[in-house]
Amino acid sequence: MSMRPDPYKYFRVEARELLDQLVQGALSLEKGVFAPELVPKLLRLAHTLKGAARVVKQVEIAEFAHAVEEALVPLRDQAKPFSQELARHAFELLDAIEERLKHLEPPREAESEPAPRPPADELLRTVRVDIGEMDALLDGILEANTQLGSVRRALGTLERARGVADLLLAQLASPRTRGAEGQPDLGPAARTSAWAEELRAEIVALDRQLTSSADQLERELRQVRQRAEQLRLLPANAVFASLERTARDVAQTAGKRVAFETKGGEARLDAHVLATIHGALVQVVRNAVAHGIETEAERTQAGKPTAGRVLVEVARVGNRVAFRCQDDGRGVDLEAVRRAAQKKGILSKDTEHLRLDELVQLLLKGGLTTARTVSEMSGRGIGLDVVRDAASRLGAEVTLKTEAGRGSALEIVVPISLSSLDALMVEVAGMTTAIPLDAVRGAFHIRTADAARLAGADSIVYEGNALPFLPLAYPLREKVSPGHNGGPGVAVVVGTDSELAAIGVDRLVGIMNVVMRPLPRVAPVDPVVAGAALDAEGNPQIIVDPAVVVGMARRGDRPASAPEVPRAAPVLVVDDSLTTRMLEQSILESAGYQVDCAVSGEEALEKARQRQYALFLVDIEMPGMDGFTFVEQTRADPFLREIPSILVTSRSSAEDRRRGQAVGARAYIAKSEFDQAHLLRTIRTLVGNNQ
Amino acid sequence: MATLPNSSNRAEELRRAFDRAFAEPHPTKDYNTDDLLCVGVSGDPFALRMSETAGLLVDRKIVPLPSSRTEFLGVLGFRGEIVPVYDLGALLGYDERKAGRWNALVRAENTIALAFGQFEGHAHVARGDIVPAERLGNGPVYIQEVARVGTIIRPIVSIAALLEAINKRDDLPQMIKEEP
Repeated sequence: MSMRPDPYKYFRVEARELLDQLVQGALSLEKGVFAPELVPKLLRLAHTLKGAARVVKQVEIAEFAHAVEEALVPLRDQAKPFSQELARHAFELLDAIEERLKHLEPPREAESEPAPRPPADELLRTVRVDIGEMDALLDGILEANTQLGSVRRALGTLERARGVADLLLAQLASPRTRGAEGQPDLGPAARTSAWAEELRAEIVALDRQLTSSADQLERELRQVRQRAEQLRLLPANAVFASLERTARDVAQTAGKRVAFETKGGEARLDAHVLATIHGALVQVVRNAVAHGIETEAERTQAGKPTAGRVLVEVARVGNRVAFRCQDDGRGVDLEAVRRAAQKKGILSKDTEHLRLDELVQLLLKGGLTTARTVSEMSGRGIGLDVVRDAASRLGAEVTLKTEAGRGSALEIVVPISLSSLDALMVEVAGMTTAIPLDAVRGAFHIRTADAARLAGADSIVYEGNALPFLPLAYPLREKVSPGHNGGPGVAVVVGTDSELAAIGVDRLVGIMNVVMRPLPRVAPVDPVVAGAALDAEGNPQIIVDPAVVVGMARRGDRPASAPEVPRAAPVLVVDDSLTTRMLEQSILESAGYQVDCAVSGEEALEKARQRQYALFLVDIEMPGMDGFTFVEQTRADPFLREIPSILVTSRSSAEDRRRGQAVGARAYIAKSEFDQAHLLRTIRTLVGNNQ
Repeated sequence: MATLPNSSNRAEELRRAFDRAFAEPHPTKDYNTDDLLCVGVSGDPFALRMSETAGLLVDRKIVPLPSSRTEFLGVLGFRGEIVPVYDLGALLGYDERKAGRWNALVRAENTIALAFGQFEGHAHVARGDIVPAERLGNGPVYIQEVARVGTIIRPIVSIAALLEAINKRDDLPQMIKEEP
């Protein structure tokens, strides 16, 4: 498919940025913001725009930009203040530039159908990348990360190969392969030995190189991905300037005063959502100022400040984003809605006594206006139709709360497509799970003394108050891990100041910025899951909805099916022999157990302190810490003492068995008597059937 | 050099074969056959139509999610997409619930993965070897045909029917839930 050349491709982006800054600056001047550098900056912007427009032969835009310069020069020289008249003139010029820019649309592909997609909002053109391209980039990066997983697995292979080489060398060094009287045989065996040495050296070098490049690749890719994901999202405040401009224009036309405020602009959201919601918000703000806010005289009479307040707020609520527009005006005249509906024949006599919420619904249906006159700005009854249309395109809910004389609040709640948030990453039943950080109030280790009380109890003391307590494993339908001393290791306090709860997790992992994605419709999940993020390897991670968890904790909910689908903690196989590790791992995995491996007692202790295990399967003879010492140390550790250990060994003397028992091992299996069925039976007896 | 005549003969032969290849008609798709993926569920043979699948993944990490549906295993990540995973065995009425290593990707409105235990290969089957299946009692409606692959009779799982059943379930989450 061929594209016609687009001569304005870069000009559009540049002009849009310059225009946005000019509008923002003019609004500041109008509000009386005094900043000595502001006027020179605006002059520079107008001048740059003029030059750029001339280059692409947009004479009209260049002339308007020149006129903006002319209008601003007296301000720089402090010859004139920024009067209402000057403001009107400046905004007219900027509007004219905006209008000309709209006509510089990119050419469409010749063969393609007319684009059915919703009109992209002009303001959001500052996303300079094609979103499709960006998605493709993200996909590529994710897939590259997955490939990196293969490199990691290859490293595992390499490690095993190194083990084989070691074995070969050991075998060659044994007396049987040596010549008579212990003299080295310098024949074929010596050559083989030299080759094996060489093989080992090569593998060691390769191992080092691969590890280093894999580490580096992983780090680089993670950074690139984070940046790319952020690019895909826009801060909500990208739409605030134009909303403020709308409020200003409507107020000026209607002869009212308005103080426009915003909140939550730093939330980063999907550009498509912002583009679609922007048109609706313009209408909502327009309605609030035109219909809601009273004139100065009316407000003074009602005892309100002369300037009406309009607040636009963006807030994330679980897996949705709420866009709220609140005003302190007169509220919606529901009697007028009733009269308008009757006049249009929508409301019959017998439905005259509709309740307030039903009238509001009627108003949201559209086609009604309560304004007595139709003006340039409002009064045709189409405002709410625009809101309804945007809401239906985004699958959003619209609610309106209104109180006579006090004002109105219209809320559009949109399901999230993509949004980024800071999250506290925690581990629950071996899974890393994210809790949105804005809901987290604190976290503390559950003390040994608390733990016993926690086993059956549903509250815990935090800063002197008893908080409802719920192990996060319950709403996630995971088996609550026995954890340290019979309960989760850490309590995370979540919720709002008025509704707090403590949720139990196994451990804290850290704080990360994650991009939340919605779950597909065909994933029948419980409401506790707000969405998912993808980790560096492209695997999903659960993001929980704190409001749901707090609600469950406060109600004392325990899903009935929780114990029915247990997912057990893994078994830790500790053995310095690769063959034994692989053999035991494969037997246990075939029987449905999750398995982790450690090559030494020291490594096993390290792992055991980081993760919850159901059982240790330990070799006795290992370099460094032997199996007896390992068991002894776990038994002495208050966090590990309840985890059963099985000793597996080639030593089968009665003395060894006695020693095993003395250090606290629960079973003893001799390698010479090794039997798969016996091993599994023993494990089942100790930890149950974990499939 | 003695080998030269042989080499030039060989070169000539290759050149003729190359030219001949252009003169032959293009091989056309054989519309009288179907491509099947042969899979094993709890030791029983089944088949999926390749035309109904979009890919095959092995050993992907499945993240379990809390759900009231036992056949729903969780989600996996594939090319930046979050894909729900259903247990093929559970959907077919098997009691054993054990996530298989293999996942067949099915592209519908949303991509879905069907997990199964054994992948037994690809078969190119003549249409004549595929016959309608008689539905027995309350057996699953997803088996509408069976195929003879070698000496084995394999029920063909109709993915379209399976998706319809998954989508029909009324306990799928609503996009928006009311706050209590």
